[in-house]
Amino acid sequence: MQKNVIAFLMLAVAGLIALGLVMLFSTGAFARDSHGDMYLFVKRQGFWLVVGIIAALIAASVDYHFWRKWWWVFFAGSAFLLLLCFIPPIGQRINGSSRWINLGFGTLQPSEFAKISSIFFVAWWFSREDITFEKLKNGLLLPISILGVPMVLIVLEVDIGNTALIGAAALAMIFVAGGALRWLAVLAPMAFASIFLVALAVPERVQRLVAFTDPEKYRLCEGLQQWQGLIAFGSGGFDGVGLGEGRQKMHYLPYAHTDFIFPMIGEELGLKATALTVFAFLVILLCGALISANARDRFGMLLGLGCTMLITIQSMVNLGVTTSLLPNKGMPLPFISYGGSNLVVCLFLIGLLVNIHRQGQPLVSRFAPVLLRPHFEPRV
Amino acid sequence: MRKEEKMRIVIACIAGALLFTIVSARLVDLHVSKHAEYSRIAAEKNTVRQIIPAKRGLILDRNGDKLAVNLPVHTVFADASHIKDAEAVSELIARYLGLKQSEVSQKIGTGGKYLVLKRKVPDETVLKMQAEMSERNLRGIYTEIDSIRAYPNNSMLGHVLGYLNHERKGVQGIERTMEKHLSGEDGFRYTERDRTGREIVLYRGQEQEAQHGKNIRLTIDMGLQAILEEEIDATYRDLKPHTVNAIMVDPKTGEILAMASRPCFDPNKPGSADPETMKNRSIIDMVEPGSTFKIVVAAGALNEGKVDEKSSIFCENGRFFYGGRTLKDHHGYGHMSVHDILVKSSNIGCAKMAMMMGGDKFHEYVRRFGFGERLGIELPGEIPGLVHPPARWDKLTITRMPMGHSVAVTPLQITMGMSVIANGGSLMAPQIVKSIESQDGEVERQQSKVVREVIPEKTAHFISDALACVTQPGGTATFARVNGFNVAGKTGTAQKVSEKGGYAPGEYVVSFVGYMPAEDPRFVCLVMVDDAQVSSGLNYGGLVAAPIFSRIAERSARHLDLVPTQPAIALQPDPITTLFDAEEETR
Repeated sequence: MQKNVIAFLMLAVAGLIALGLVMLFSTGAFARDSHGDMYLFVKRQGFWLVVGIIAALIAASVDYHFWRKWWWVFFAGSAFLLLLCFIPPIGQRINGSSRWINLGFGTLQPSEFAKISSIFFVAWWFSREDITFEKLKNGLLLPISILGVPMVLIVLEVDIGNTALIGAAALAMIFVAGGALRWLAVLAPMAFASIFLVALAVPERVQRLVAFTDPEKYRLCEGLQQWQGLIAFGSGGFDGVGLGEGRQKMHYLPYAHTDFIFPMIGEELGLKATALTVFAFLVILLCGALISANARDRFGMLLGLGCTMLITIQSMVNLGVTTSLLPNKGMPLPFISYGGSNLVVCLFLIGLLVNIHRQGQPLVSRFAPVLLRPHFEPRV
Repeated sequence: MRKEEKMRIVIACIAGALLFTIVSARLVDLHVSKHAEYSRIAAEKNTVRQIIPAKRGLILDRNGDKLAVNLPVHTVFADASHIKDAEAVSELIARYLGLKQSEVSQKIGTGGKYLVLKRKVPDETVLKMQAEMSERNLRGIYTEIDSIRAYPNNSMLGHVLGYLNHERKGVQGIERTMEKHLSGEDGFRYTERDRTGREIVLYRGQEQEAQHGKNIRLTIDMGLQAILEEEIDATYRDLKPHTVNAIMVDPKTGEILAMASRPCFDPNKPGSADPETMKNRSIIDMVEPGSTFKIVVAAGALNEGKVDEKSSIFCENGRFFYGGRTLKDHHGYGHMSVHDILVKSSNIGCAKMAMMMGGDKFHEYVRRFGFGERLGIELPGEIPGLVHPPARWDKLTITRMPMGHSVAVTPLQITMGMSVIANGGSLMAPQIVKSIESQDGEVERQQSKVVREVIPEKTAHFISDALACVTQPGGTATFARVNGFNVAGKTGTAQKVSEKGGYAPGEYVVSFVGYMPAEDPRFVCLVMVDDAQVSSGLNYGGLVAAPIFSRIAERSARHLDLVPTQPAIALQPDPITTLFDAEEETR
């Protein structure tokens, strides 16, 4: 396991990406109604997949200590980009959220970069030798305050999901880094409460919370998406209705190709596919944890854990929302949902994990020599 | 330190695995335990049972003229689950369909998938409405093709055709008796729709084609029907009788060529019609036939050998005291032959012939002529009439029944009875449906049926000869003559039975039933006028009904293109006094 961890990780990721493309073929066929080309989504996703693979290769090749040195550039850069979102001609406002920067040929979502730079920062901070958790200021308040800058900016552009994601990943990292349990016991409920309070401030979110309590009752308004999702799962049964045969994608289930693609997997392929999907994410979590545990140094350990947590928590939120275990929150399912930036970021995170693994404890990685050592002799 | 970190990673992994386990458990719950429930919801949501309506068969006359047709209209309904902007949709619907907006939005608010907003909406309204809906990108309103039954001839033949109720089932006339042939059977199709309401043709399920109804071709000839209707219309207008009715039958086959009565109604608007006007009086009215009934006793007595062509019967000089009452003729006659008794319509002569036959034999002949039984016409509500058996007769009945009193019959029975004489002795079953034609061209012809041979041809010819003289000078119905043809027939005048019992003074049912040409009859026609508003001295079959018959017969001869058998002469009607039908006065 230890030696083959990358193989398992790659298998899980490749499987999820393949499943995502197949399901995008199926659900995206209805894009013709709105976009005119039934292959449009697949083509775009294919393009971003290539970009993502390149990003992953870069992350896998560049020594991760590079990020330790230059984390502040990324951190400041992403904060700057987040600010740009609020400046009208550059920032783009869609559905009441200013999450995007208009590049002219497309849009960029700086919060995705903020995710990466945030874990860079947290990993860097707690890998410093002068940091101890004995002191409240250095051990908790200061890093949280610095991390608060991008988080507040993301909250302000009304993207509670990503804020919570960064917060949760950071908390997990602090926990593993050795954060004092007494402080974390205070911090975690506070973070949870603040997210809840922020959610209450936006009327739309309140309705989502109410609808979550009974999707069937609110099936014609806020509960529609989750209700249709439940119907999709339920009518799929164990074997599913068959690939391409799903009915829910026919305008019954909104966003069936992006955030709510998981119910479509459930409807068309049934429990066997959804259970495997969940298993694949579990494999990613375990592989990520193993890689972190065997990282060469503390920074690598924390960074690997941050990457793992970002992907894992994101997938958990999506799985929870689509199965109505959590209130409705639009968050793509990593590697499967349609959407370019998220795919690229997730692949980049996987690339980081690969790099950490390759520089891990001696003799741990079968793949270690690939790019770092010039004289690599392949083992067949 | 290192160990503690690993410990914490393990804890984080366990926490994550736990959360994934919860998700998995939830998935099993959804996929397996709730499979049946959610599948049902999904199927209900997507699957639609589309009715493919069967076309109701047409009703045609014998020449293929359309008497009852289907006009396409739309039923507009809402599927509330597809409506996003209920306000705008209900405003638009209210405007186009002329409904109240509050009512429409209330209906949509109930949230059904099939909320009928309005029926019978014409094509152009629907097209305009749909155009605006697609322009404004509204949806949730759909239409179904429906059809309404229309009768292009309005009230003409309305009694025979009948009409449909709101469930589109025939409730009267041919529409009712031929319901199972006309209605066909609706087909259906299970299909799925996406959320915008478009059919997903790929997922069409079970389908059953509609069985369209069969066309019914009647024996009615609309040319003759029009003639009949016009003439009785004129009578109804001019003489203001209680009712008028007329029937025309082909005596050789029993086919009804025309059938009409007044008052009448328009089957296109059955809701606004007075129930009294909806009765097809030719088959559901009981009347005392009067002298037209005398053919029965004459035929019976001849056939039983009680009299022959040369027999002479003493007619008591017009006053025959029997059973404590005096039976009168209009004129006093001495000895008369059977022929003359019919021509002069002597009550006493007929009574004596019946007495010769005896009550049982006479009753048998009445029944053999079809009186007192349903003739089995394919129209609803036919009554058998009322012919008492001899056991229930009183003393006078034997003298009264031969001249058409103490007996109640339907106009159709009189017509069919006369057809027995006209066709040489057979009682034909009245036939109104000529053939049943399915949409794919399969034709099921209805055969004409002989109910029974009533009298031999010889007897029938003898009676027929006498009836031909009725319209000749000296007969009771010279007004029934048609120039160029020999017309045979018999008048009838009967006092109306009062609702209180007994006879109503001054109210008469007068009739004439005849056929033409007498030698080879093409049609038998009855004209019956109930309580015409003329002075009682003129209210006789020969004066009121015979001229109507004459007009009908003449026009029908032209329509049927009959070749005249007699030289045309200028008609000189006899003085009115000689025409009087001699009837019994008040009892």
